[in-house]
Amino acid sequence: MKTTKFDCIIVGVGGQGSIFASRVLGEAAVREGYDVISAETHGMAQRGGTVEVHVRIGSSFGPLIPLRSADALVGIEPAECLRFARYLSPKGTVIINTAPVTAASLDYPPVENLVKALRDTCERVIAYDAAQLALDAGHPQTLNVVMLGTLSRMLPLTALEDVVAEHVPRKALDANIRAFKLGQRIFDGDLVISTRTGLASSR
Amino acid sequence: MLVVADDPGCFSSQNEQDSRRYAQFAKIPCLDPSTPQEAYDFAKYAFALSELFEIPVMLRPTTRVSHARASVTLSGSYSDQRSAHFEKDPRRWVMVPTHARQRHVELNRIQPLLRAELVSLNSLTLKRSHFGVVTAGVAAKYVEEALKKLRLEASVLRIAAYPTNHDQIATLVSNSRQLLVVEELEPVIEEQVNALAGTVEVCGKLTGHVQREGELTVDTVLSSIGQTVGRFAIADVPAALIAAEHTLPPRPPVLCAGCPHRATFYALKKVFAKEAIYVGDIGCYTLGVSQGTIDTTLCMGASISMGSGFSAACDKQIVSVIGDSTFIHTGVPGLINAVYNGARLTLVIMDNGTTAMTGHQPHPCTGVTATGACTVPTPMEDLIKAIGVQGLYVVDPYNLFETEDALTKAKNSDGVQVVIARRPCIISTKKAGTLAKAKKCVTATCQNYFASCKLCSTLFCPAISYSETSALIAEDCVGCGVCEQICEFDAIKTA
Repeated sequence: MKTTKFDCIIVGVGGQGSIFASRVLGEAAVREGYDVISAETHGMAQRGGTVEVHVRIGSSFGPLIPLRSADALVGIEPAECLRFARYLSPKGTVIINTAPVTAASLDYPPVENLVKALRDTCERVIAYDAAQLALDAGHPQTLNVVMLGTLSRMLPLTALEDVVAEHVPRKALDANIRAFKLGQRIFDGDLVISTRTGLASSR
Repeated sequence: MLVVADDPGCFSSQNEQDSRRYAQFAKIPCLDPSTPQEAYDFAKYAFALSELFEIPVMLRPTTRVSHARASVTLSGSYSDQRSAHFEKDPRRWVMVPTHARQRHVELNRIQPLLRAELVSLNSLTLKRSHFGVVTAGVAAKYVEEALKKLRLEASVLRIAAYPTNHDQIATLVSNSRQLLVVEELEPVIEEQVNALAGTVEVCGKLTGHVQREGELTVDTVLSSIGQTVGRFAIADVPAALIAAEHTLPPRPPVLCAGCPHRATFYALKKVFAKEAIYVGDIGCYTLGVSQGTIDTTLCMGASISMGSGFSAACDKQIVSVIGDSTFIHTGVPGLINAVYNGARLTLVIMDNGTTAMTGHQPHPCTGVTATGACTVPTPMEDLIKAIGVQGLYVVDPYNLFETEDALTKAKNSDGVQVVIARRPCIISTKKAGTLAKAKKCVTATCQNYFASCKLCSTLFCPAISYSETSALIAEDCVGCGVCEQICEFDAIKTA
């Protein structure tokens, strides 16, 4: 049985802004009057390690989401997304960035395989090159905000865009707002990304 | 108030200690919050409790309370404007045996009073059910959610403070035929329930119904309840998903691209080779284990004190590796001991000017206090010289030649030799906006030697990857130039 209003898992690699995204999401939910609790797991490294954040909106329980319970899984990094897919509810939605973070020491599988594994086991998968959209928005570090924009369409949190605006550095404000809106358009389906050029264009 | 955060599951700790044992040992009260809201409420209460009983109070959150964020309802600010007042009373404050004996009587006298005082923090909900649960900390929240998921009626005693109140446990025992104790880390409560349970069956860690190690989750609690009462709600993860997970590479923690520690470790390996014993410490540089230059990690300051022990017990080369912050925190007494007792070791202080791993806090050598105010910096070199070390070198780790030279001199000298490898943390440099970006690139000549070389892979730099025929340098390169210096074929150049 469902025990909260909305459970969301945000995962990525250290430095991609998973924790920032969760804080913005949590604060927007608090402003709408929801009880929020979240927990982050990020191990020892300052950068480059797996980061996993659970965010529970409308919850009076502990911060950890049970297996097969999350309403949404936001994968800022594709392999990390698949790593935590076991938390997603059978009716949940995956939002996955298809641009990987690789390293020489990682035997990284093809991203198509990762997305296929998700499509085979999850009801709804929104897969796109969010790193490219972040560049289109004006700054590669807006990647997390692009994905937050996509997620925002699943939530009745009107304050989300304002909270993003309040928490990003002033000089990066415009790029972040553009990033948020591009992410929203992905959910709405009026933005397609050419697989050949990777560039986004309006439909 | 003493705050100690325990880490079930060892997310960033070297052990799964249970500080409730220390509170029990010291006979001080311990408060065990299950949410950030309770951590806030209990912190306020801890000060009042401490005043009331004139005793230190332990606040003991765990990872899922400390590394959590939640909506918290505030209840006014707390401020105490009294200036501290010390009343001379040797019988109270001078712990010679005659006084200590009396204080022991006093400490024991207040124990039942503490039990009575703390009872209100616990909650006991009795149901018309033979099944009861005793739980504490964040596990209490997992129990609540698991019982709701199972739609199971159970009496629940939630313990929020220690020493525990025996009356509440006795009431639950008399209402139940079967009890499950759900707590993280040590079976602290379970042992007490066992002592009071009589013929009532008690399930928990000691009977294998609750996992002995690691952190609990709603799912592990569902399984514990299932094993106890035979009612299950186990999440069904599709086999295809589990199979797909197995194709994923693990992503071990790494030093950042441009981290000065990487260069120091490379030089260490080159000079001291595999045979030396590398005695490590607590900080980012523990990650040097992948470069083969960390052989032990235990606790803060152990690099030097264990290094002294190794030096006394065997004739291997000893290299102690410690960061600047850890050195000033707990390395200094170990260094005094090493020098005074004639150890033979090379101490490498990896000085990145901050406490990087925990989030860039200042330390006494930085000249900034925890509140951000400027103060007198502790002079690291003067301190080390005053201890009487036989050799002291200061190098820039990005300059491999200079670093290897100093390490070689240290290796060939007697006594305690100290090499300070000084270069600010790359994250601090980026934040300060002082990063001079000179991007590196790989030239076409790499292909000619690639099959037999890959020397740059020994750096474990996240910015370096490989195609079928050549090394590649990624966007996150900061241009530290260390790979350029080690490449024997000049195949890495500044872009």
